[in-house]
Amino acid sequence: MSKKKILVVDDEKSIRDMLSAAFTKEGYEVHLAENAEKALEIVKEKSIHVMFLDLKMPGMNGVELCRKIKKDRPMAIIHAVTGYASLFELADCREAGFDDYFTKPVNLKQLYRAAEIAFEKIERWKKR
Amino acid sequence: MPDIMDVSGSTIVVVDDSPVSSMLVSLILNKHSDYRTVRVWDGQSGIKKAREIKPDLILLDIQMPAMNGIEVCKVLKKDERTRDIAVIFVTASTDNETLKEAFESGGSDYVRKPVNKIELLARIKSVLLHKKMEKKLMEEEKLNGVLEMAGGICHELNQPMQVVSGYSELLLMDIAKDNSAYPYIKMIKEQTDEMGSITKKLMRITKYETRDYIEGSRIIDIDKASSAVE
Repeated sequence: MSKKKILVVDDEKSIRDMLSAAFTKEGYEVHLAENAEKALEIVKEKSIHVMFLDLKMPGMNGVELCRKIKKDRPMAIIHAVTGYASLFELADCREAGFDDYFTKPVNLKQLYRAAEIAFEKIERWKKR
Repeated sequence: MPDIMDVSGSTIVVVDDSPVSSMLVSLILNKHSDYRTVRVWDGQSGIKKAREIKPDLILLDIQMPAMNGIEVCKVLKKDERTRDIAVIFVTASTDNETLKEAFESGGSDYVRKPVNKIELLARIKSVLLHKKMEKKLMEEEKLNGVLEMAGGICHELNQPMQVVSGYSELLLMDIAKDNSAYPYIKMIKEQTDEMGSITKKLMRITKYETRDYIEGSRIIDIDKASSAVE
């Protein structure tokens, strides 16, 4: 049975590496992108439905990236993980299509729960 | 919520060598306002009183022996202890050159002698309000500066804290509780979470509140500054 896929987008390598180790440990297949453009390439090639996006990135920010992904993949479940909440208001994130919003530093258990719930939803939607 | 247009209770120092003029101004202010007035009779006393009590406004006669009002105003504006005190000149002079010098010395306004009650009260209120708005604007700019800095610091700090917190949590999942390293890693995770709660407080700063630090300096009080007014 193929592993469930997760996309992590963050311009900080140390964050990408840590989240990769964390989600891999939980049995997920983790795909990483250091910026929005790379993330869009991955999303185009692979069938990934669960994503964790940093918001503040050089070039296209996470909010804009979320809008673009949701346009082509409305079923994607996208989570914001941000180091500075006030820059991006919660309402703007929800309007862009984010399903949830976490402020760094966030406990891994919270992210695991978010991923678990996301995959449960996708399974349920597939069966309907 | 305090009324931003309320300047009652302001302290005014009246500097005038004429007892009659000084008495008249004082009577008007005491009868028709809530301002607290203090009277002095010469320029040097005016400077001394200003440094001592830091009034909100000085009513300054221009024509005084020894040290005239313009010279007094120049001294007040050069001194950082008194430079922010508003000055209204009170003068019998109709000479434009004198008025020009008065404004150039740092005065905010003037009234002519003999003073007209309505004009005096209106000009005092106008200058006091202007000062109050200026002070509020400066505080807001200070706060905006703090907020910007706090936001930048938070974002930078939250990134490495996420890494430390995440790896600590992964280690705690992998090692047994009776492992000697377990309590140390747990402490690292807990202290990182504590740092995270501090940056979250910083991000909630809504007002500029400070507390004593060392040797007379002050630092921002994060708890007071981030507590919301319900």
